[in-house]
Order: sequence, then structure tokens, then C-alpha cells
Amino acid sequence: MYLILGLLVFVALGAILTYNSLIGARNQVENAFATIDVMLKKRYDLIPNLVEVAKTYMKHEQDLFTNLASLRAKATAPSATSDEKVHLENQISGMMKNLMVSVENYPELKASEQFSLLQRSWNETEEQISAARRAFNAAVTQYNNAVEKFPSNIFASMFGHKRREVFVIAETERQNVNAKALFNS
Amino acid sequence: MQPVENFQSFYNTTLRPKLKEIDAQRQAIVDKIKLYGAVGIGGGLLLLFFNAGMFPLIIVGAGLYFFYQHHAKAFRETYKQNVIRTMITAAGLTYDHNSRIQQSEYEKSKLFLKKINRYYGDDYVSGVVGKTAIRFSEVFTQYEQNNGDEKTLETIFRGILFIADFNKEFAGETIVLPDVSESALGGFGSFLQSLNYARPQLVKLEDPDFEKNFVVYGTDQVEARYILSPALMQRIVEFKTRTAARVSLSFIDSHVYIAIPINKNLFEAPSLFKSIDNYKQLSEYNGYIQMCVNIVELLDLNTRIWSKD
Repeated sequence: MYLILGLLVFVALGAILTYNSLIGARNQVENAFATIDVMLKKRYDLIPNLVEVAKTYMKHEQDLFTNLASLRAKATAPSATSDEKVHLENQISGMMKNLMVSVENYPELKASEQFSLLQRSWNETEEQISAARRAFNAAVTQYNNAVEKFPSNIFASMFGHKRREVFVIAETERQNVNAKALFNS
Repeated sequence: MQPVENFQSFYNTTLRPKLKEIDAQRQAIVDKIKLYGAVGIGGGLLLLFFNAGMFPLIIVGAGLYFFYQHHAKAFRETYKQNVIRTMITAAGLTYDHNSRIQQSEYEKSKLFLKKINRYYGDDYVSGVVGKTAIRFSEVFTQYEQNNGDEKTLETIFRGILFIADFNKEFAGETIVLPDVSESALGGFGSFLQSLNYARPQLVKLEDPDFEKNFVVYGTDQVEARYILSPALMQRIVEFKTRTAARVSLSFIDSHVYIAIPINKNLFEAPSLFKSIDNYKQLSEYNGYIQMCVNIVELLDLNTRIWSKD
């Protein structure tokens, strides 16, 4: 009699602990996702300044700047879906990489202290976005582990937890960057 | 800078003359000790023979002892001020043999949380390597352990504590400690590590080599990854392999603190009775100086492309 009772208590305790840790893991994923957005916003805020300074020196790159401006507007628009945002994000990354490469052709711009500071801030936001994405992937992996490993997987599906996807850059986006950087500017 | 290959020529051209000079002085003192010793003990024995008792011998013994101590101390000073200093200055750094990394800085690094009962240190070196300001010294800390009625002194850390300007700005704390549990016990070990209440949150990173060797605790998950980029993680593993020591690092207040355990006293003069013209010994000391200087390049601290200059 007592044995069965004891067993039930044990299972109930297990359920509670697992439930809580699953909730904790999922919240960590949400938190990490939100942090990426924070870092991305920092980067978006930098773009207008960078463009302003670069424009005065790079008189022949007007196309690049107009494209950047419109991409940025689309990406920060509240109506953009998550997938669209990621896609736009990657395009902006590509264009900014081109811009930084083109700067090599404008020694006065390179020497400008204002630009140098902005470039450093840019590098920093890039690095922080990368860090935020890695933190997100770590949180997702931890969550997925809890959802799929035994014995917590028994409770996971019961409480409605599902596997989430880690952040990956689409193959095509990766390729686009390389080609443009070499041939366009 | 003195890369190891050139130490041979540096030793021959710059160090050797100094060593010979000091060695000559040393030899003179040793000769004096032998002379006074012979005379003193001879005289004492003679008096003993004439029933003057042990007293004169004891006086001679004490006198010789104090004479030896006084000169040995002066000799050690001379050695440090001339030989060690020359090696360190050749690497472009400043040397203060009596100074050390302050206890407050040791505690600030949060590398070792155990309460200290004894704090020793010497051989303070400081300078700038490229764009990075560095400083390091020997540090030796102990704590008192109560074994029932007796108290013993146990070592917390003995080796070099190294501090450098880090090339990124950050606000929190990230601690990188040698990993024992995870490599031994796998997933369960990792679980145990996450229970360490003395440390901030566990940070699990992607580099398998790095994770095998180190466990990371940090106040901010994103900041820890901002500091520990994939490139830096590789470099830290390389550093650990090269030093073959259980190194630990911490990143606090935009500085990096590195503890390299070395179980002996470095930069010390050999015994007064031995020749100081010892290439092997000095090459070893030079190796340690080079190791510290090379940390800057190894961890790529001179790359200043972020907001910190």
C-alpha cells in the first residue's frame, strides 16, 4: 500500500520538476530570441550614420546606399514577418560587407576618424549579434534536449512542448555575399 | 624581444659577462666563508681542547651563520637586480623584484574563491606589448585547514598571475576554469557543474575541444559568447596545450586575468655555493618570461577593431 503511494509521490514530484525545467528552458529560448532582436536593432540604428559619413566620400556608390536604405526600412517595418526579417537581415549583412570592402578604394574615408569609430561600432554590433545567435542556439539545444531525452520527453509532449529549430543562415544567402563582394564594387 | 632561438646568443653576448662578474664576487664571499670557517672552527676546537667548553664553538657557529645569511641575501638581490632584470628589460618590460600583483587584484579576478590566510608574491613585471598593457608576478596563496586540533597550511594557488587589457569592452564577469567533472563524468558532470552556487550561471559553448578542457561561468550568456568568440576559444586551448598547465582565466572589467600554476619558485638565485653561469636555469626563466609576453599574440589581444582602443 505504502509502496504504491510512495511511487505515486515520486512520479508526481518528477512531473513537477520536469514541468518547471521545461518552462524554464522555453523561457530561456524566448529570452535569447528577444536579445537577438535587441542587437539587430542596435545595428539598424547604426546604418544611417554610417551611410551619411560614407556618402560624402563615396560619390559613386549611390545605388548601394539607396538599396541599403530601402532594405533597412523594410526590415524595421512592423509588418515584416519573422522569415522576411531574416531574409532582409541577410541581404543587409551582404551589402554592408560590400560597403566595408569598397571603403578600401577611398583612402580619405578610411582615414576619417568619424568613420573609423563607426566602423568599430559596426564590428562590435556584428560580434554581439553573432554572440546573441550563439546564445539562442545554445538555449534551443538545451530546450530540445529536455523535450527529446528520456525521461523528460514523456512529460514534454504531455505539456505541449515541441522541438524548436536553431538559427541557420540559408545556403543561398551565404553564397550571395561572396560573389557580390568580388565582382560588384 | 628574445625569441628562444636567440637566447643562446643573448646569453653569450649580454648575460655571460654579467654572470662572470657576479660569479667572481660570489666566489670571493665563498672563499671568505671557508676561511673564517676554517679559522673559527679550528680556534674553537683548540679552545675546546683546552677545556673552554662548547661556548666558543657555538659563537663561531652563530657568527658564521649570520655572515652567510647576510651575504646570501645580498647575493640574491644582486642576482635579481642584474641578471633577471637584464632578461626582462631585453623583452621590453619593467621589473620590480619586491613588488607583486596586489591581493585586491587577485581577489578581483575571482579565479580562486577560497579565503586566503597567507598571501606572498614577488618578481613583478609590467609593460606594454603592442597595444596591450600587461603585468604579472609570482603569487603564492595559502589557506588554513583545521584538522581537529591542529591547523595546517594548504596551497590555494602557486604560480604566475597575469593581467592584461582585453580588446573588447564588457560589463559582467566571465570565468573560465579547468574542467574536471565534465571530462570525467560526461553529462552528469555537467549537471554537477551547473549546481556550483559559488559561481554565476554555467555557459555551455560550442567548441568541443574547449568544452572538454574548460568549464565556463558567466553573469550574462550573450556577453560570455561575445568575449569567447570561436577564434578565441581555439586560441585558449592552444595556450593551455603550450603551457601544459591547468590554466584558468577570467574576464572582468574589460581585463583578462590568467592564473598559470607553477609549482616552484621562479627567478631565484641558485645557492651561494653554486656557480650562477647556468644556461639551463636561465633559459628556463627566460622561457617563462617569453610565455607571458606571447600571451598577447597568442590570444590576439592586439587586434583592436571593436570600440576599445
